[in-house]
Amino acid sequence: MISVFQMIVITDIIGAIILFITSYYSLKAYKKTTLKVFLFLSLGFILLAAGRISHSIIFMTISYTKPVRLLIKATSVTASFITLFSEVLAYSLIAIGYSRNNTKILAVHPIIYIRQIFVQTIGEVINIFLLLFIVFRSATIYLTNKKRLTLTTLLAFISLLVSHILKFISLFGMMEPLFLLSKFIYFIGLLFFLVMLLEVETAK
Amino acid sequence: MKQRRSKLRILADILGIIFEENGARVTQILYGANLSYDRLVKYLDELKAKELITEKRDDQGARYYLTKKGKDFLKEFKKIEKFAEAFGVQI
Repeated sequence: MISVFQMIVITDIIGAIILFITSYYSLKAYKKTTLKVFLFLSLGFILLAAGRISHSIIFMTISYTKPVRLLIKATSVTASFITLFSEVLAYSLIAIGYSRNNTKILAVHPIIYIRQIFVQTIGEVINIFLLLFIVFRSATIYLTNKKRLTLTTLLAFISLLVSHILKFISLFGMMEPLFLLSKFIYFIGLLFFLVMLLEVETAK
Repeated sequence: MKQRRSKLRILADILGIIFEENGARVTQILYGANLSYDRLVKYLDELKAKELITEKRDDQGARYYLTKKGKDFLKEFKKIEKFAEAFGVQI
């Protein structure tokens, strides 16, 4: 039976693969067209992927080595910070790209916990605002061209936005189900990217 | 207002016409790609130099064909075009 912990790691790895492929396509598009928007998208997606990978590696290490409780707490805090930092940077890059174009929170030491909540909250607020901008731009593009592929990208970014809003709410109340739901919706968002990539790959 | 086509788009348009016609003459490409003769000749020379097309001559003049490299380029362009479409980017 797969535990919730392992489930998070699995979705992180699958998500990272999808993000790496998206980044690869963006880089390929940049090389062919030299349009900077693709370079920003590529860097943004690679950072999101790197964040997911580092998060899953740290969690896998904890899962298999079973270190002392204090070390578990410290590493999960570090993992959260790495993911958060990469996400803020990634969404900033994706937002720049668009503007150029038309863990479960473990109970930790109170001071560390408060600091973590503070940084996490600020980071999540930044992420939400960046994603709001990205969703707005993406929606505008969809309303202009009404293409299915643009809708898929819009749905992907909406899912990421909803996921971050849920994660933000779960930070205050330590609501585990809400946190897991945010993880699930994030994964759904990445699946939308996968659908988009499959459609791109089969383009004739 | 109609946007200006990028060079990449023009080259892909030319390759697309040659592909659809399964070998095309200059006049066919001229109509399809909506270019002046001088510009078309310049682009055809570039495509030949990049080995994306080959020229074969008969009694009616020159006919252009896609090379394997040209077909691969066109296929790749279509994918990039689709990817760009997903993010609302016009190539």
